[in-house]
Amino acid sequence: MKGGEWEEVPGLDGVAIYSYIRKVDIASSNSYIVSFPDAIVVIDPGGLPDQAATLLHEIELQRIRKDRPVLIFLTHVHLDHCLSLLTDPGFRNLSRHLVLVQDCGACSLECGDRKATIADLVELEYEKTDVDVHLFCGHDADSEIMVRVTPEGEPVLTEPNQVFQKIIPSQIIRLENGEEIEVYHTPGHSPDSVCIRVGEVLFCGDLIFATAPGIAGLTGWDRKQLDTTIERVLSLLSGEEITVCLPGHGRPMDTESTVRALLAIQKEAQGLDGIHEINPEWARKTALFGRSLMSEVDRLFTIIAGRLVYVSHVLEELEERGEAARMEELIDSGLVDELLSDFNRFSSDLQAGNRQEIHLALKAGQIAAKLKRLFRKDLLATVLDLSLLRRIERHLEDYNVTFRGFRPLDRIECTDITISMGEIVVNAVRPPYHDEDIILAPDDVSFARALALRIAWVNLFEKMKFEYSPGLSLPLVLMDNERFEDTVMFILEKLSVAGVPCINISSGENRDGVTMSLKGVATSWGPLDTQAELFARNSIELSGGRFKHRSSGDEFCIELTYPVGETGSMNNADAGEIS
Amino acid sequence: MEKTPRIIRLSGRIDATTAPGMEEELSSGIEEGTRAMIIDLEAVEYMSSAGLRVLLSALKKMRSVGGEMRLSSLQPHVREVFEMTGFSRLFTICADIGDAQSSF
Repeated sequence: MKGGEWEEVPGLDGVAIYSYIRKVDIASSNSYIVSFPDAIVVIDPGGLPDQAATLLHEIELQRIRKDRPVLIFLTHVHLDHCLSLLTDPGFRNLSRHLVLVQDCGACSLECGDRKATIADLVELEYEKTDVDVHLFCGHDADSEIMVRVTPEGEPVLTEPNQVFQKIIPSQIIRLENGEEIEVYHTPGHSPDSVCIRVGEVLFCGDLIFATAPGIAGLTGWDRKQLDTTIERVLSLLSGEEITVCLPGHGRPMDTESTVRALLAIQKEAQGLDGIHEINPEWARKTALFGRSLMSEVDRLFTIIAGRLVYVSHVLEELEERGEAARMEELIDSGLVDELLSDFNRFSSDLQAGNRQEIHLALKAGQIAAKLKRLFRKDLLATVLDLSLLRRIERHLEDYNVTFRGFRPLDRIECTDITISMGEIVVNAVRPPYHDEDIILAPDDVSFARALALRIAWVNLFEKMKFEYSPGLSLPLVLMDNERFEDTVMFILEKLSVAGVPCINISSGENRDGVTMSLKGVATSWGPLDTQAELFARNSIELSGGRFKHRSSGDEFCIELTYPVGETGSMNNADAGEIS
Repeated sequence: MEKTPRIIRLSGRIDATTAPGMEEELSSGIEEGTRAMIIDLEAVEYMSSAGLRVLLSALKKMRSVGGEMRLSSLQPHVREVFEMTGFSRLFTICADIGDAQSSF
């Protein structure tokens, strides 16, 4: 099915369908109009005025051909599926229509439940709205309702009539000439979710998006119900004559690809126990985290892409054109740039008040997923230092996990923080290559690779002196060592490029645990800007510690404090001062 | 040919969207005969790798015609990008316009 035009409904003679298909977003769903001889059925009017205008125009044209009542079904009451029904004057004033919604969804619309409709999340307003027919109310499952039309053209309904028992709770809405619309109760994505069958077409709402990041965990989301629903819909798809599935968002799907998608969702859902509820607080925190993380991802990608351009240029100057060209192919920096610019525009829109935080959280998720696909750590590691690459990989994964509704993974272990810091200080100024690699290169390719590695290494700490005084006999601390290393490197880089001439690092025990202090004298613009400090604070917290930044005049002190691990376990830091 | 340095002031974000415009501006300057150029980055708040590419391309063009280029007044973020990518080794970077002018 193509959409945007009237097409025949597979399996039904004389019944046509108009599909309004949109790209996948949370602003509005797809909408569908089915023209029966005795009624016009609308499924999900969506959430945008232009879309509502198109639908109303098509309904009007159908009614000019033959005047009929309109039956409006909602696959569920999230506002992207029904905002136009609740707010658009054309829909609110539509003559001779009935609204049919699953019972708890109907109740949510009637009492103005902002959580159930996700109005709180997308920050939209709507008025309480009465629903004509509560589907699946009480014991009404597995029943049939007849729609008759009075001589005045008004639709009236018979009482539900218990007639059958199916593998999936369902209700049939039968039209006067015998044609039927079958509604299945399919909770999981939301308690009021339904799928609707017309002929061989199944309108499946947001079932196939039920495990998507930022969607799984919405108020009313239920993993166990989702599992049951998927089992039932899979049975339905294998047993009934369904050839086309029309989702609430995106392109139509054939039965085979719907089955594949449902099996994948079922598998994915198994790992989603304990997922965080997607609510306004989650959206606010995730958007904030996303902005801070994307700012750092942006910085790291710019460094990587810029360093490759630099290496490529120097290699060209040295007439190593083959290796120079290889540098340019290690990452699609143009596409990376476009994605990051896109995120920045989006973020600016939010600040200007044109977007909601949930949109930024979702956008960051999309961009992070695309960047992850472009990022080839194995290739980049042939020329760039691993610390940069490891950090990018971790940040993208952290956002993915947070966006999924979980806390980023950490490996909190008993660690000797003084040894860890000692290694950071030594590795920060140690080149990732050996001089012999160039001299002993067996062939031209190895020579060029060794040369590229050498050119690519930038000693960021040429102008910054390290003074490290590890405390003696300090207890082990509980921390994620890799996260600690990455965050300290981030802080040191920031201090170095800010022109801090000397950094004094020391550690000591106090009542909160063990504190690693980084002291120095700041230059004119300070050691860490707000964004960098926020990022460092979050990262240190993810590594199990606490971040504190104190300033007095030009002097600053950054303190990283970790709780003590096993009682009595001591480190072996009896090393002297390293300068 | 110009003898006194021509100052080109850039501003805002230099990224995939704005870099093509900057490239055009720099290229036309060189094609018009500028042989001493100061690119003032005081109002540039952000520079992506697309911006770095354009600056490098302009530097190569300038050198190929025997000209010279200076960058001046880099803001912290841009300065950081230059330091961390190695680009600070390729360009002559001056603290401000005055320094840049007196360096020719």
